Amino acid sequence: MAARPNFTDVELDGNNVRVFGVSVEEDLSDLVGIQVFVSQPAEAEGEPARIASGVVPQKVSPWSAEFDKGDLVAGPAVAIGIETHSTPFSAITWAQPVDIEEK
Amino acid sequence: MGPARGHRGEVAPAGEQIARHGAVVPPGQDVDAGRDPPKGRFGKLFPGLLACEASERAIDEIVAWMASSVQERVANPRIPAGFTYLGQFIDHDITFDPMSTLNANVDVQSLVNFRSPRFDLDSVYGSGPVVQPYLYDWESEPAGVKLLVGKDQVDKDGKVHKVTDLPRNAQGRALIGDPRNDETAIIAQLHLLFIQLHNVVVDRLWRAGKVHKPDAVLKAARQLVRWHYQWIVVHEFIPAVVGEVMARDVLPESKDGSAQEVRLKFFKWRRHPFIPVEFSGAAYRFGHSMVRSAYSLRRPPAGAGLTVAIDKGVPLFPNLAGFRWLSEDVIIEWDQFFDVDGAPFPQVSQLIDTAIVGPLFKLPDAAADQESLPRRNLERGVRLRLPSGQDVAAAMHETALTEKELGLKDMPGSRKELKAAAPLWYYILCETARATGPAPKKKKRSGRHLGPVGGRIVAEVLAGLLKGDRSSYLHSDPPWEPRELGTDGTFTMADVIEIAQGKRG
Repeated sequence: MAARPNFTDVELDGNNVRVFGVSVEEDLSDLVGIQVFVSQPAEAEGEPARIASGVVPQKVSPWSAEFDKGDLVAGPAVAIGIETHSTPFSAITWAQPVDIEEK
Repeated sequence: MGPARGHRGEVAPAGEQIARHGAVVPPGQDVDAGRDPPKGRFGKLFPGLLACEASERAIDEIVAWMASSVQERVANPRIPAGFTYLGQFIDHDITFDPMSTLNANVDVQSLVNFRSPRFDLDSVYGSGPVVQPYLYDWESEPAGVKLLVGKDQVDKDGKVHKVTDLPRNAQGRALIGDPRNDETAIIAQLHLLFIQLHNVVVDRLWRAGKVHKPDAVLKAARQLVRWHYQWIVVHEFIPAVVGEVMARDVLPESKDGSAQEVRLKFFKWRRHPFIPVEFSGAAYRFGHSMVRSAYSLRRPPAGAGLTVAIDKGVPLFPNLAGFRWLSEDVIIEWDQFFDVDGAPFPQVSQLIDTAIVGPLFKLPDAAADQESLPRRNLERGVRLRLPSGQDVAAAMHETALTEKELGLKDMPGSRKELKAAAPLWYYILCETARATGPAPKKKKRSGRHLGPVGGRIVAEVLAGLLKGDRSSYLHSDPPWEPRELGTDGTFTMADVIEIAQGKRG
């Protein structure tokens, strides 16, 4: 089994980006939330990196989040996730290279 | 285009009609008057192929592999979760075989399909208000035309159930055309949605005053609902589950764009279409791999940051198990299951592959030897004497899957056997790895839709049944487009939801 949590797909649809992922189903009972960030390098030197972020609105796996894509474009990116639990109060963070697809 | 057009595919009633179960129906009252006999037969797509005699050991190893935690149970970004249950709803509309068992081999020719092999929603309409009057509402106008909806129902203990539900008897059993549409709270509510769609259409026709007789309103409404539902099957469901390329191959647009064509390579029949067991016993069971173990039923309130309300999710079993009164906590907001304009993309189904969620290995209320759905599928395939996936692939001139694609390294005891002849259902789930194929740079995740063997069986049978049904729009009026309910020549599940729930006038 691949490491979990894990991103499985990232895609653009119109002005939004959708991020899909999986968590350990058995560990979701104390889940506080999952926040995700997707980042691509700046378009030009000196400009800030392109970053979009959102929150997973469900405590189910597989999960998905949809949010404004900002300046993201199709292509390589890095996604970061923060999965926060309450018992004990803790967080799992993970970073993953992803390919943003155009739907 | 007015509703009168909806009558094109129907044959005018002539004389007394004998309904199913032998009831004599007065002229003009049988809702299915003049149609083909309601029951159908099962048959084979490939009658010349030998049966795949999967050994018990092979079945054990496949089931163990499907249940293995090694398998990733991953979201399918292309298919919203509602399609899993729309697929089940379609299945219940066209097939019902309560007779074959897992304990003996089955003569396919002797099997009776207790559903008409047509997309006629007989699971919803039953045999009509004369034969099954308890399905219809006799207190609203026009009497006996709308379908009954359960409201403020009283159970045997005197408790009043406030939630809008399927109509139920005092013991909580749904009074519907097909009992299987109460198997889970999800399909029960999908069935309810189609009841509500019918009732809205009846209201519109009745108020418009163009159709005056109750039985004419029923016929017109039923035909409109059926044709719109058939449109969804052709234009939304089939492309989603078999992929756009296969869908276009089987259902190409005509050259001048005026009519929908159907091209079948393998599904052939003499007089009436039948249900091929390769479809019902294997290919169409792909939906089991799409099932999630838990569902988000309602969208949490909008918010930002980690303070956003998070839906806890509801386990499929036991929370969403069926054959019981619907409760407030399982009521579905449909934009969580289908892509509805203005709402965020819904939760999605799982990939179509060999990873099956845990609850399907331990079905509630099933005998110990029948609680594993994957095992039941594989054993039923043996009893139905289905051919192997490799033989069907060869008959379709497709290259057989490799050992690696069949995942045989994890099945050492039956590797040789399965390499030569894998059960068709399992083969079709493995084959989805080929559906998307390698991308130029990096291999895309597979399983977004069925592969060439499974996809062709599913597309040809669904399209063929529609083409062979003389009352379907594909047979009787191929250029037809859905406009009567206020849409502009398209129609999706989002339209069903909005119209049925009165969100669109």
